Amino acid sequence: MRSLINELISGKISRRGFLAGMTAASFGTTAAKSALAAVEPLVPGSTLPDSFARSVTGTGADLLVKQMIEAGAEYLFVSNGSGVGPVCDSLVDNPGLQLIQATQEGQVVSIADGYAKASGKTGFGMFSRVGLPNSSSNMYNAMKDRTPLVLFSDNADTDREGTDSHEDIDYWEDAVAPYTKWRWTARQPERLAEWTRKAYKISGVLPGGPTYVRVPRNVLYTPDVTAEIYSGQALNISMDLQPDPREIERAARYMFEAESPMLYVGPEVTQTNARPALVELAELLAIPVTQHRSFYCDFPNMHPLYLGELRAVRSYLSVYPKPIDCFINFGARFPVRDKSFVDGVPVIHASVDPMSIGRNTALASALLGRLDLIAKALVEAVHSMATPQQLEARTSVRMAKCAAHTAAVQKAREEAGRNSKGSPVPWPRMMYELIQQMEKDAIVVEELGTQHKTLSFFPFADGQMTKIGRTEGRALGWGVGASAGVKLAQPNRQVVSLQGDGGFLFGQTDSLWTMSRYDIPVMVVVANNRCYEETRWQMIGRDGRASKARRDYVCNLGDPDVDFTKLASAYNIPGAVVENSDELAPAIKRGLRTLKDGRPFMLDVRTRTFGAGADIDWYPDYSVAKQRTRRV
Amino acid sequence: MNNRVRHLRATIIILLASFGLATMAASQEPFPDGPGRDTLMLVCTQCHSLGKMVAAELTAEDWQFIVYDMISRGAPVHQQDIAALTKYLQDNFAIDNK
Repeated sequence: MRSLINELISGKISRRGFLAGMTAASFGTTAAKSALAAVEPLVPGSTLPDSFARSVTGTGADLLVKQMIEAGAEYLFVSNGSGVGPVCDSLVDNPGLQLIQATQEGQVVSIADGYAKASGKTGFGMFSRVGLPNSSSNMYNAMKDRTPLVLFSDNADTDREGTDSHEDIDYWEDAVAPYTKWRWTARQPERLAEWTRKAYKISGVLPGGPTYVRVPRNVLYTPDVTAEIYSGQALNISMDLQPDPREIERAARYMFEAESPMLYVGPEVTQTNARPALVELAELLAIPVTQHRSFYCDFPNMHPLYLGELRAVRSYLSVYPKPIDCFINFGARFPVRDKSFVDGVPVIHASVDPMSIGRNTALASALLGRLDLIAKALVEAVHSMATPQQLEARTSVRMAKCAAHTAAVQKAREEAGRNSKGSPVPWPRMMYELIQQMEKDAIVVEELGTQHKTLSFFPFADGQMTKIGRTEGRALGWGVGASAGVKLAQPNRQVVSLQGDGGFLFGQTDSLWTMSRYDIPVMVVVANNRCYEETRWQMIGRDGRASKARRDYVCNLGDPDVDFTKLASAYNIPGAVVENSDELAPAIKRGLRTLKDGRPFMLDVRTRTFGAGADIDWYPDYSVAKQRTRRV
Repeated sequence: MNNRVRHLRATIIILLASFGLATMAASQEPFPDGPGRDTLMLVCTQCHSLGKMVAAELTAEDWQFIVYDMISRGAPVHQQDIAALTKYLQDNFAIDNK
């Protein structure tokens, strides 16, 4: 009995386990329950509070901050604005909430977004009333990714709002309506905690997304307000949404009987921690896996069943030439870009989002619920349909052919990375050299043109590396700030931020200030090819008039030729420029050593570009200085 | 010719027809037979047409770079097919080989 009590108090067994153990030790049920009642106050985290609510008196901002803390906030991401003043006053009495400052509202949101994606918690940001337009680009990215963010700003005082006066305009909230799950202007100080709770609740419930609240500054400063603050437990809504058993049975039957099924995975898999169960399901039926564009890697990308993006499927079908006869979408949004994969094919869609499921594609089966629960239920259903021997007979050929194919493709990528060399640096070699030195459980924060640039090289899986980014929204100007947020969420994992030069120049220099101020050891790697390559391919590749005239109007970034290490140097961040592939290994080594010492590092790798328009050196050569008639 | 290439040859028409690429295949007359051609037709056409690609004035070294770049971007080439694909592009389309 003593050992059972020790295990219960130390959290090693549950209450139910304790009762079972007591019964097994020949104690009667009544005696066991009595023992549990006696010891329960000592069980960590298990005692229920006397009340879920407590009364607090303070300023409006005090109520906001105390409710944030109860909701689980560790960090307060802010940028400067006089409206943040009342919250700063509140921090004096709430030192447990760590403030992290950015120098621009858009970066407040990207840092909070990176934090939320890496921690699984809701991120909280606050900025000036007039900073809303700056913030909205990354708010849009967060909405596209369904990232749970609670965003606040101040507002004109209640006696002046709606007058088009200083820093005021009508209908502020309407501006971000498409980018937010919910928005509000809170004008009653005694209800501030209530609105804060609501923002957290709506933001965090699956599928997540940003919420936005404006509070007139005089409301935040209002003194001696009394309100109820609710404990975090009151906000912790269980989301164990079980799928319909009949649909599970139907879907499992489709999958089991298919001769050439295909699994298409998206970000809801990672958001619901469904990867392990999904791997079990895929292996059970030997279903090849293709990845929807996602800010996570939703299936281990070095797995024998992992094919890559959907367009890579055709190559697999050359070694397993049976038309796809069951298409299973797990957590991605439809439609797929190439509809030939789903037209006329039984399609199964599993999603936590009732708004998304079946929205754009006719379905043979719709599975609504948490994806981890759906995957586990499908595994059980398949097991009930066939013996292990029968399953083996149905799947062994497909598994062998797919595994041989993916192994050959992976070896090709490794060879491509290892053998690419020269100056400017081929980016595959940059990736190859990075992976030689990075920690095995590093986090890669990516804002590059195509996700395969990272998915081809880094082993992303549970217990290995983690991929975060690029956003589904793809509005550039997110990655550097996001990587700072990721490091705040995961301080004991190495974080490398992969950026293009074009993406970095979307206002991301600002985030270097935050990295330097708070000693956030992230290595920012800029693949600097002096152009917006992806858009140039699309524009010049269409062979329009500009292409025929050999004119590159907007994709050339080579003049001025930006040295990103000098930008970093302005923020007291060391860095290195790499011109040749031979210089990569020592520069990466220096960068990772700097991270160990607790400082960020900038690696500016001059990479090679090619393809449509790469040979065009024309860009608009316009000089205002030459237009002058007065040298002033 | 390895087994995979033989298999590709047998299945390529079925696949192209299945996915509406027969027209594209018919338009690939400038691509002479030879080792590497089937990989080019199967893998590269999944993402882009071939006409402009081979019209670009590229050196043999450029073609090596491009094959590696495309593989790294996700082009599902098998390791054993890299050499043939690269040589096919270099022999037929590199400006320093003409």
